[in-house]
Amino acid sequence: MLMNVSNILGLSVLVGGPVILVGLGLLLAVGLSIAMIKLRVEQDPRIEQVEAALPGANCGGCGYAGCAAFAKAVVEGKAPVTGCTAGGEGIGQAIAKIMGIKFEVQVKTRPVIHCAAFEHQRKGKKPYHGVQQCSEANLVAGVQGCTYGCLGFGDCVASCKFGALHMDRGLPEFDYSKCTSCGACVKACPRGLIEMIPFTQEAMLVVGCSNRDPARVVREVCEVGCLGCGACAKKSDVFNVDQNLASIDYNKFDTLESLRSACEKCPAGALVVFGREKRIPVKDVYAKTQSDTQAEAQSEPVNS
Amino acid sequence: MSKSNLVSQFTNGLWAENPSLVMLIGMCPTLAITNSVANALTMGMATMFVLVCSNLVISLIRSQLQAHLRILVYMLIVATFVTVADYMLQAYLFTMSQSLGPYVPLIIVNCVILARAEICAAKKGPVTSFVDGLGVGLGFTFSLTLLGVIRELFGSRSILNYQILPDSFEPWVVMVLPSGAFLTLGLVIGLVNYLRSRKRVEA
Amino acid sequence: MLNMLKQIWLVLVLSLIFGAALAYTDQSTKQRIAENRQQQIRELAQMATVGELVRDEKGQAQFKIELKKLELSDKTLVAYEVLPIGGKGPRVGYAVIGEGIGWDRLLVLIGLSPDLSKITGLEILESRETPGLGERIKGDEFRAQYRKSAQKPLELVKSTPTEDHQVMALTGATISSEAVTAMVNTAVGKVRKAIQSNNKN
Repeated sequence: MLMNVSNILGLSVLVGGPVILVGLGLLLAVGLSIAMIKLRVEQDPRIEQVEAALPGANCGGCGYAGCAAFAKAVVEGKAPVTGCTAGGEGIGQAIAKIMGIKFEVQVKTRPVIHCAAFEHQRKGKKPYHGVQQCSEANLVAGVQGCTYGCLGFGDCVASCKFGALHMDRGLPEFDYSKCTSCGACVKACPRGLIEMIPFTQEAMLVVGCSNRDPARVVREVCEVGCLGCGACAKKSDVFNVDQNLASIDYNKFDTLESLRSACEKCPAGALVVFGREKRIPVKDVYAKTQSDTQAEAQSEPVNS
Repeated sequence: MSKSNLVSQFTNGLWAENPSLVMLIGMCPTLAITNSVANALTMGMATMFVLVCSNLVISLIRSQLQAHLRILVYMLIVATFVTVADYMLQAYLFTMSQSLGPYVPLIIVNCVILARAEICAAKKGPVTSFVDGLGVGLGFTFSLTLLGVIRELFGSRSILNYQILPDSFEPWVVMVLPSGAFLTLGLVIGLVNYLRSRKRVEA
Repeated sequence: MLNMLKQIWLVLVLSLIFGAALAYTDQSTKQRIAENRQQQIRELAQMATVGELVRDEKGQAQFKIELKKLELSDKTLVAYEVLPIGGKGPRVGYAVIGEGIGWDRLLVLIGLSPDLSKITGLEILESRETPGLGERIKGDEFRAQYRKSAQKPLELVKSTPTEDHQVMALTGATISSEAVTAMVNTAVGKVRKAIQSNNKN
């Protein structure tokens, strides 16, 4: 082909080849450039600016298809400037600046899991050789006794694009220093155990159970499940017991310390604290603070 | 770019993102020319050559790429290297190029090459892109050869034209036909998925 | 305009470099590729006329013949005069390339006796028929059937041939068999006409 054309032009292949390719390249490149100029869709320049400010992870935590879609929604006023949970405050402020809106600090929400039973605390586990995913195991009856609790195959871990989750003894562990609050793990859990809660404190109290069965049934399937006894609710109105399960009203939540007496009443051990380095059963938290205060008390006289 | 990153970039193409067994791209040559080991090997090598060269060149010019002229430049680069590979095969491996037929020129539109250009070469440095091309190319060659071994062994009783199975073995003609390509590919992908899932459970 | 040039300079520079590279590759491999083609045709022509081809340890063919391309008025027909090596001695025969379509493009090489009365051999030059079915036209048994008188056009039959000009089709490969037979008939007819008119002139 190259040869034929260059023969017609009376050029040798060595000269004709490059000449034809350059000609073709010129034609195509100019054509494409013109097409880009003529066919360019006019859009608000702020959309590009907002998109450039976003992390570009396309995590979908904002509820839009991706960062580009979110940027468009922000500029059109459909999405709040703080909508990008993955980006955090810094990006929220940057977007607010582009949009010319005053930025208001929002409370960070983070995922917690409403199941506190480690592998060995779950009863009635049966051998399961199917697909090693929660979504699959959830379809099979009798993989474990508790039909509400964590299955432990780590669909949430796989869903996390930021490496903020890992499995520890059959339960997901959250690393909030990596977590961007995108909410992917919430969607990934087939049993809906993961919830985003507002972290008004550095560490938050969480009901580590989702089982709504009566106490007798819960005892049969789990060592730490909530019995729905209501002992906590009698001590503090932050707690609410409905259908055999305690829940926490985070609008009323104040400090961990203020709930101490209520937590100490819990016979099950279903209350856990999230937020420091790891998930900690609430008893240990209070035990630790006690020993800390004792240690401080002892060391004080020496210093002064 | 540290050494371990380069190694992981290399093994990534070889196994974790193997083009034909995991990503399922570049299916046309995978299905069409794996009826013998020699064909599969030559095709894999030719693709690897083009992949490494195009990755390297695209990576070197990546800062100058204009978004709207990007694909034009890719095609120019890829087409050049494919043509060179085609001519070289015709000149030095004539019988092989005859049996590969139109599939060598078709490397130009092989999805593997354009995908690596977009994913890797347009974003990363020349060393990484080179290693990436090498890894993906080897992964492609490996999977093609694996299919080739299975199909030639059962379809023609031989491997690389050396008879392996005895004459009493009736060759399964279906294995050298396109349907055999689909069957073998499906089974091999199944095996790979099994191995991968087992690894994940152990980990 | 200057802005546009700024954007497309890379395309132009690359076109120039790659155009030069391609032209160079073309130049440097052209002869070899043509030689490869010619070598293949020569090997098959010897097979189709002499009937055998000896190779040395390196796989190099030991030729007994050489080819001389015939200048025919029909430019679509490619045919060679087959001469003994060195051009000494009487003509060995003719080799004609027949082209047609089976399931895909088919190229065959037909060997003819010096007086064009007999087909001395049939070789498949290029085929991409279905392996196991149409590709069996490459088999010796099928091709041997074509070694017969070329006086009468060949006829393809589906049962054991009863007459000399009949050829038996391959079971399950009727289309490929038909294509080969038709190609042989057309090519032989054309070449006979062309050579006879050449001789008259």
